[in-house]
Amino acid sequence: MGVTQKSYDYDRVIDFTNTGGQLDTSLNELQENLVALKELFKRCEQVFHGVGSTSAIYKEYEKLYNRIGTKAGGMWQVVRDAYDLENLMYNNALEDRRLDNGE
Amino acid sequence: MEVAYFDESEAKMEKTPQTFNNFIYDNQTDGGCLNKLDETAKKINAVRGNIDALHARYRELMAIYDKFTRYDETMEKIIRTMTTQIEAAEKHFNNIVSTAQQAINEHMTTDTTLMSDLEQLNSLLSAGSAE
Repeated sequence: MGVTQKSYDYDRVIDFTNTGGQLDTSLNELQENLVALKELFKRCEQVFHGVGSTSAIYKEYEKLYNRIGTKAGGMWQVVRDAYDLENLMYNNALEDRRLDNGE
Repeated sequence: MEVAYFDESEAKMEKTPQTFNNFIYDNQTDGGCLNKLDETAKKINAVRGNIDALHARYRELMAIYDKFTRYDETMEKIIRTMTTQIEAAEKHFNNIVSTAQQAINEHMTTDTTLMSDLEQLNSLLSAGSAE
């Protein structure tokens, strides 16, 4: 019986992208720190702020939140893209392994 | 099958600043303005570190595939966009620190105890620009 030639090391990709794998861990840590950063922005607002929504300080906080938010390419939108990519790589590697094994 | 973790509730949460009726600069030692700004600066650096770590994981994956894949462009775009956003966030954060400095400068004529606050805010901005 011949040895199946792997097109690439999909077993390593599966381990890497699976729950608890290196990629998953890095993405989780980023999300935890983004949550913590948002909370810190809120605390900063409590102890240093201007009047109303037209002050320069308010506008800077607003821009800060937009950068880490979900709209207009904000950080959380990109995190979602990273999440989708991880799932895609994992599932494609599983499928490639299945096909190579003739399942 | 979904294997990755994604904080859906956090992602959907609206992130907007509060509006207040008065100006506040609270420089209490414990949990006050200086303390929170300092913690925020450190957390921004931590997020930068996370983005660098994610970039390293992507490079490792590229090495496992050992050839150009359909994922390469997406990975590069993710890192590029994340880096752009955190650098912009840091800029806006520095603007907030500068605004705090201006507020202190205005009040220092009547309250010289604010001088040490100004020094700490200066070092916060210097630490950021030194990187």
